[in-house]
Amino acid sequence: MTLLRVRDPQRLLFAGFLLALGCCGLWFGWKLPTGTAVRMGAGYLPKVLSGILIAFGVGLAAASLAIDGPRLERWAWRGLAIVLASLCLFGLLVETAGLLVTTVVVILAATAAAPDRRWGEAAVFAIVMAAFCTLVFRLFLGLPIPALP
Amino acid sequence: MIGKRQLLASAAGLLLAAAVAGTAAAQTFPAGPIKIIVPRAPGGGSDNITRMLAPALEKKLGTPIIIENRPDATAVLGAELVAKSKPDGYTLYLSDNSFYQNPAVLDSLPYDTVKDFTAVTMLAQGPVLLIVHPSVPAKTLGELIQLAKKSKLTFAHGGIGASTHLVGIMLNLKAGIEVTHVPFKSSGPALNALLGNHVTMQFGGINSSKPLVEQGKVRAIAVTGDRRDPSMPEVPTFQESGVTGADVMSVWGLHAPAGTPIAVRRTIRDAVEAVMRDPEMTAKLAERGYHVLANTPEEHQAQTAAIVTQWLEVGRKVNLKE
Amino acid sequence: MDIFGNLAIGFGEALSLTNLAFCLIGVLVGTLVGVLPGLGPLATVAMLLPITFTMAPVTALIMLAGIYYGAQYGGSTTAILVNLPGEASSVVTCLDGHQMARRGRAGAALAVAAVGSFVAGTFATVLIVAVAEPMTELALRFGPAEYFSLMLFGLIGAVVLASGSVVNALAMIVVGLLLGMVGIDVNSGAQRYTFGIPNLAEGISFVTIALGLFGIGEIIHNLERGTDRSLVTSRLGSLWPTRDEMRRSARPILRGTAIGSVLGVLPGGGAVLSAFAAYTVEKKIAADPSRFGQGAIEGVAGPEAANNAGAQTSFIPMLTLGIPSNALMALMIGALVMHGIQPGPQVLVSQPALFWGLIASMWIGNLMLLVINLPLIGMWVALLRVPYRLLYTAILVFSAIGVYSINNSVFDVFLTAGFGLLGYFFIKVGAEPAPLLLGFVLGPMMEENLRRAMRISGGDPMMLVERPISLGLLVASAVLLVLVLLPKLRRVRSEAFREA
Repeated sequence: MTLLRVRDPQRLLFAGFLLALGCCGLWFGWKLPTGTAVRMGAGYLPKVLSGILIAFGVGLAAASLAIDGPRLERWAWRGLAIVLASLCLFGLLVETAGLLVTTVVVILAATAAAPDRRWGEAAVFAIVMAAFCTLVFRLFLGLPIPALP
Repeated sequence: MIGKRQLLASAAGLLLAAAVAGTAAAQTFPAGPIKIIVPRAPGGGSDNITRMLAPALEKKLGTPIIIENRPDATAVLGAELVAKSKPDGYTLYLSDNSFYQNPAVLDSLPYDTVKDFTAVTMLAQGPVLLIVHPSVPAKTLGELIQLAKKSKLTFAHGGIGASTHLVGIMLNLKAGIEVTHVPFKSSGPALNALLGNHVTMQFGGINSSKPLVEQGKVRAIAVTGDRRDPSMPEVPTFQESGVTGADVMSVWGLHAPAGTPIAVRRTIRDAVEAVMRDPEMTAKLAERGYHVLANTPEEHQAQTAAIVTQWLEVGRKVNLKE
Repeated sequence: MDIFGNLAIGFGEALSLTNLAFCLIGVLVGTLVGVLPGLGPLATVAMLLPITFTMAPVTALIMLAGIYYGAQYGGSTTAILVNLPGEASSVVTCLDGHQMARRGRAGAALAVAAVGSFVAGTFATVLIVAVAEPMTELALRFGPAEYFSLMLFGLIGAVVLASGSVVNALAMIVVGLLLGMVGIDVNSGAQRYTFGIPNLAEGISFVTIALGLFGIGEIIHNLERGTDRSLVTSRLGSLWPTRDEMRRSARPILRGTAIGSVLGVLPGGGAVLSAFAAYTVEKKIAADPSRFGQGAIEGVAGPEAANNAGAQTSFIPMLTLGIPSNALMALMIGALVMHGIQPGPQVLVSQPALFWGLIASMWIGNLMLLVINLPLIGMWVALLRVPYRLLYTAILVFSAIGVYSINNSVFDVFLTAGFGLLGYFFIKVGAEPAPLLLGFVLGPMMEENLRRAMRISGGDPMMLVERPISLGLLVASAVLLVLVLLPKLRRVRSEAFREA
């Protein structure tokens, strides 16, 4: 039973993404007025594009079963989670805690993702960066971000 | 038993206390920086007027003015932010046409335009100018309307719901014509399309069109407002040209969160008025197409409600969304 | 027109001590905001505007213009060093520029970018002096129909940006087009895919997508390969381009300059296309296109030249008509009006010193940038020696601040995190993000103009082929499509045969 063997897992995953996005596009854009090709409504192109994405998804999924491709690499979940979390941390903190504190916290949080992290070095770096960012963004460029809580 | 006289006296005392407290608050205001939220990107009409006034206002009020741009296409984000701010006068909203028209144009708003805000002043108004490409045979509004009845014309404007779009809709409505509207993101690209003769006419601001009118690259037909614009006295108003009720002005106002004390609002408005009435500043603003108004908080409060109602009524007659 | 007389007036004005000083301040500030990812010249110019009210109008304009093209130079530095594109045109620089940096040729990439930009800037300045009027006429001929055809041409060219699978690239373009639909539809005012979130009303901002897909995705990918070494994989070579690299860059710089100069004049999005178009051309005429995406110096030289030429010639509509071609130009017009000068066709006659002074200062500013940037290369490259375990945290913070500062919006920071996840996913499945970004940028403009054209023609699609410029661009698109697909089709066929 080698008929339905996945020969190209990367491509299959990408195809899945396209299918999902295309379906979302259709689902959430369904209510938009379609119009005609010469009198397009707001929903015309979104629906056409979603349709094309679904077609791409189906085609690529089929191809992934027929043509060999590279293996799927392991995902680095830990690094992924930490980097994205530290970005979100910035978003949560910046308007309340101020730039100085936020920078220190975000840099320390992000450091956790490095396999060869050195906490002492990171702490010094965080303080230097906080001072630098506050100086450049707040004082010099005058961005409306509070420096202190 | 408390006598009638005593009651009266204590009431008077209370009133007096309140009045003193009010003045005291007004006297100590501003005690810190004032933030003006501009719901548009830097470079637009709403941002420009704020940045023109800010330095003089800083001097007048003796406190820093921070301009914060919170741009989005419908100017809702900035308004929502201000509606939720503390009503202490330190957070203000630069309102433009969208603010007054949104209740009629959008399906839902995260705030109530009249109830969640209290007016400070209507800073300025600007007329909208109708211009055509020189190759168009019509020289007056009457001729243009006749032309529109015979052939298919198009008008360019600076975006759905903008004053330049609404004047066009009103003209169609009042003159009984059907000129196809062609939306652009802002008035700049719309003017480009007119210069290249890709559309028949355009509604736009006076300042950017004036030099092109003088060079003969476009022809001015009519201007909105009760009287002719002093910078282009040769251009008739829509009313003079026989169309009444189509006048839409570009407007810029200042609003504060509901509950901001009147004394504070008066302080701000008085400073704004003093700054704007400076002859040099008035001239500079006029050059840019801003006609200084600076009315009182009470006047603008009534005005806000009136404009909102007016557009809700128009919205019932025509589809403002298309 | 007495060109030399005019230039004499211009240089006389621009070479005054005050104007030189403010030109220098402008380009320095511009370089700084350009280098910092996400932080564009727009916010900076807006903040500096009140200060300019006290200056002479020509001085104010010179400084603001300096910030604008200074940021163009600075933006390519970040793109090359750490793969962070701060604006649409830098995306192309990332493709080969960052690969060069990884191979230890960051110095050469930066030098070629600076020299290419300078050559382009010089040529574009001459062009403004000599043929601003006819170029304005050309720009005005572009109506909705022409812009639609131009965008279509650009989209087909987007396939060339990818070095891997063509099918994946096509799919990514469509993904980009769909993402571009988010926000308020310009033609009807309808909200599309905004889910009632006001932050999405204006659409997804380009910087969140670009920083997320390129910068953040790349960081996560680098982390899994270990951070014990610096970003550069091989030994740092000489800081300067080798003779061979110089030779290979010369023609791309000239071609890029020509492409950028023409496209930059078109206010409806031509400037965005210039870098992409230059890259497409270089890759298509290269003897060995497979080097592109691996660190081909031609892929840095051409687009960088095109980008700067386009930035320069985009001043033409403002100078000759008083019409801003972007928000930054609108701010500069605002600065002029505060001084009582309404930009328009009459400025050339009534304010010759202002007009020619600004143009002369552009060339001087470009020269300053060259002089500033070349010695800085050593410093930038040294930055690459910072251990990656520290560097990536700094990149994260800078990106976050930059993204936040565009709209002062926390929402955009979260959105960037989301696109970071997507960027990592794309790396894992072998889909390149560059075509997506081009689709994202061009898609809305294409749709807008198509629908505008249909409104104007009353629903008659023949309008697109009846107008000569539009027809020419459509034919060119068809030819490009064949050129793009032919070699790949042949390869697919030969692969299919092997399989059988």
